[in-house]
Parts: sequence; C-alpha cells; structure tokens
Amino acid sequence: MNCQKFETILIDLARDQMIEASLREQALGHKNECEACAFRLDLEQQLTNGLRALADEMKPLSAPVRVEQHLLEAFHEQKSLVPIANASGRGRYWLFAAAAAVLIVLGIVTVRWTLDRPSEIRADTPSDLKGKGVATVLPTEVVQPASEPKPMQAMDATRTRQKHSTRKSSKFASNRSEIVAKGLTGEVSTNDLGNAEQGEVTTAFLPLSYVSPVNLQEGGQLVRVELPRTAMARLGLPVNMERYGEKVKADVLVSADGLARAIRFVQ
Amino acid sequence: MKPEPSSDIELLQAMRSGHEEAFAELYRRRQPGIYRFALQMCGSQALAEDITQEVFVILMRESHTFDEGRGTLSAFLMGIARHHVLRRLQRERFYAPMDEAPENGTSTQSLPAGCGGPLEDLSRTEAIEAIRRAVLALPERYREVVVLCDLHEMSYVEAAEILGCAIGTVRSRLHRGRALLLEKMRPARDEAAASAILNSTRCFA
Repeated sequence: MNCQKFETILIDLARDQMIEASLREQALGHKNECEACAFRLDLEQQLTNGLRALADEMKPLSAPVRVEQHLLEAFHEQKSLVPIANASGRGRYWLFAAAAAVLIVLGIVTVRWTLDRPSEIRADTPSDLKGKGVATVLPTEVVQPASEPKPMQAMDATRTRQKHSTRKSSKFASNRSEIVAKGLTGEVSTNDLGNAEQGEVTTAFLPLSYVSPVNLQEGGQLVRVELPRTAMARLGLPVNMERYGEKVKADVLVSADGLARAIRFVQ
Repeated sequence: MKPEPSSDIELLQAMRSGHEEAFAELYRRRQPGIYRFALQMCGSQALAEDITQEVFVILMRESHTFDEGRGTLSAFLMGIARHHVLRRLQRERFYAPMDEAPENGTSTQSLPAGCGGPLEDLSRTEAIEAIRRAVLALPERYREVVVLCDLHEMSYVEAAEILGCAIGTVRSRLHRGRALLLEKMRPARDEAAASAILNSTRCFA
C-alpha cells in the first residue's frame, strides 16, 4: 500500500469504521513503514477521540421541559382546531371552484358581449340619424311616377352616412328586402332606406310591373345594375339632357320567382 | 408486563389520530438528537430550543408530508432541523457574534485514556472547548457532516439521507471537515506541545 491509498482509508481507520480486514492489515503495515502516515493516523485518532469526548459530554443534553409543555399545549390547540382546519380546507376548495366558475362565466359573457357589440352599433345607427334630424320622405310621393313625376330632389333629402359602410351580411340583405317591401307599401322612411343603402343617395322603389305588396313581403334580392339614363325617362323621371349619354346605377328588386319587381336609382 | 415499545410510524399514526400521548412519546424519543444537533450546529441553547420546538410543530401540522418510503422518521425530523438550523444561521450572520461562555453546562472529565499526543496534555475542559469551538468555526457544509458522522455517529448512508446528497459527497466533506478541524486546532496543539516541553525541562531541572 502506498501513501495515497492509505489516505483514502485514513478517516475510516481513525474512526474505527468497518473496512476489509485485508485492507486494514495493509494500512497498518504501511503505517509501521511510513512515519508521515503514522503521524497522520495518530492525529486523526486524536481528533476522533476528542470528538467522541465532546459527543459523550453532550449526550445527556436535551431540550428543557418547557419546550415539551409548549408543544403539548400546541397539540391541544391543534386538536381542537383540526375539524375547523379540515372544513376550511374543504371550504377553500369550494371557494376556488366557485371563483373559477365565476371567472369562466365572466369570460364567456365578455366574449359574447364583444362579439355582439358591432351589431348593436349597427342597430343603433338609424336612431342616431334620427336624432340628427335627417329629413324623411314618404316613398308614396314617388311610387306613382307616371301620374306625378318628381325630380331627383328626393335623392338629396335621403343622404345618410353609415360608419360600417363596407360590411355586408345576409342579415343585412334580408333587412334590405324588408325595407324594400315596406317602401312599396308606403311604410318605409328614408332612415330605413339610408340604413339599407349605406351612404348612397337613392330614390324610392318604383314598381316595374303590377305587384301586390303582399307578394313583396316575401322578400327578394337586390341586384345592382347600370342603366342608360334614358331608362329614367321611361319611368317618368326627369333626365338632364347634358348628361344624357351617361349611365346611372340602379337597384333592381328581383322577387323569389326571378322577375324584376321594382327599381330604384342610386347616386 | 411492560408493553412493547411502538415504532415511530405507529406513534406517528396514533398522533395523526389525535393521541396526545403518542405525540409526547415521539417527542421524548426524538427530541434529544434534534436538540443536540441544533446545539452543535448553532452553539446556542436558545436557538437549539427554538429549532427543536419548530421541528415538532411542523411534525404536528404537516405530518402528511412524511413519506415512509423515502426514509425514516428520524431522518425526516433531522432534515427539518437541518433546514431550520441553516436558515437561522443565515439570519444570525447579520448580527455580530458574542463570545459567550459555554451554555450547555457540560461537566469536566478527563479525556479517554490512550489518546497520546499533545491533546492529552490539555485539560479535559479546554480540550472539549477547543473542539467545540473548532466545530462551530467550520463552514456549515463541513460542520453538518462532522456533527452527524462524528458527534452523532451516523453512517455515511444515514448522513447522506439527511443531507440529501450522495454518500461520496458525505465522505469527501467529512475528510475535508476533519482536515479543517485539525488545522484550526493546531495552535492549541502547539501550545500544548510547548507546555509539555517546558514541564519536562522543569522536571529535569
């Protein structure tokens, strides 16, 4: 055995720990040969003895009786508190569960409110316009153009503005059909029309053929077309001769049976 | 006929069911080791008392955290004690240390026979006091290993379980800790050796 190997088992040797008998013999043999290692082992053994003496000295020491008394008092209190503690533990669980449920509900409500909000804004717009004093023109004034043609001054009176002019939806389309039907029966105002047309200036709907208002209640589809201005003249509307060659936009109401029922001009 | 002493686990189960006597028995059985460990680590009786109390309060309130499969109850309690000791020592570091007289009331006896060497020449009290101070002056990581392995005579395995480290780490720390202890005690040894030489000179004179 060399000094390096002796060093590795030195502590175990000094502390009388369990080591292999052969290893112990070799270590003790080396100790007899090497003075330095013998001195090291001697020092370590002295230290072990010193530490053992300290341990023996401290062996009878223990915590004072008052610590035990305090702990037993605490145990008493703990015992009396146990049911409450358990209950509070369960209560805490239910409290967390309730809080989580409330948060989930709040989250759902918030999301739904956020999604519903734009449609509410759209719905509010006509009343806003009404509040701003937009003039109303009864469509009955232009429904019978043949008998009493009116100039396109009505178009100026129906100028409206919408915040969400680019938004189009099926809901909106059906609203428009309903408004068209109302317009033909004389129930609609320019507020409704303005709502339907989103910022465009339009005339009232002019029937293209005889049609019962009841049939028009069934709704239909609006088709945007471009017509020569002469078409206005055919419906009894005045035409500016200087712009005779230009085209004019119009919305044609096509009923469910595919026939054009009414038309209105758009500026 | 004397009833067979219950195991720690049985006592713990009884304690959980609210048996005060089981808790008291468990305390009486385990508190000396914990108190001594705290005292040997801190060197203060008051701190050792506090730590012992805290350890058993934790046992009382959080006994469910003890997992029988992971080790003995003794190791569990000692682990809690160690945790509290280190925390207290961390806190105490902010205060200036006072050179207190030993407050453990140890009695003076002669060193075990057959020691040989300079330590033998120191008086029993001085020798023990020197060792006590040297142990307290060790860095915590070495101190706890020396306390567990040398003062509590625990095996490397038991110490590793309490410290939560590998057996090899315990061995190397013990080796280093003892080397540091010898280094710290060298002035005392030298003084003792000088005293021995002086005494022998006087004898021959």
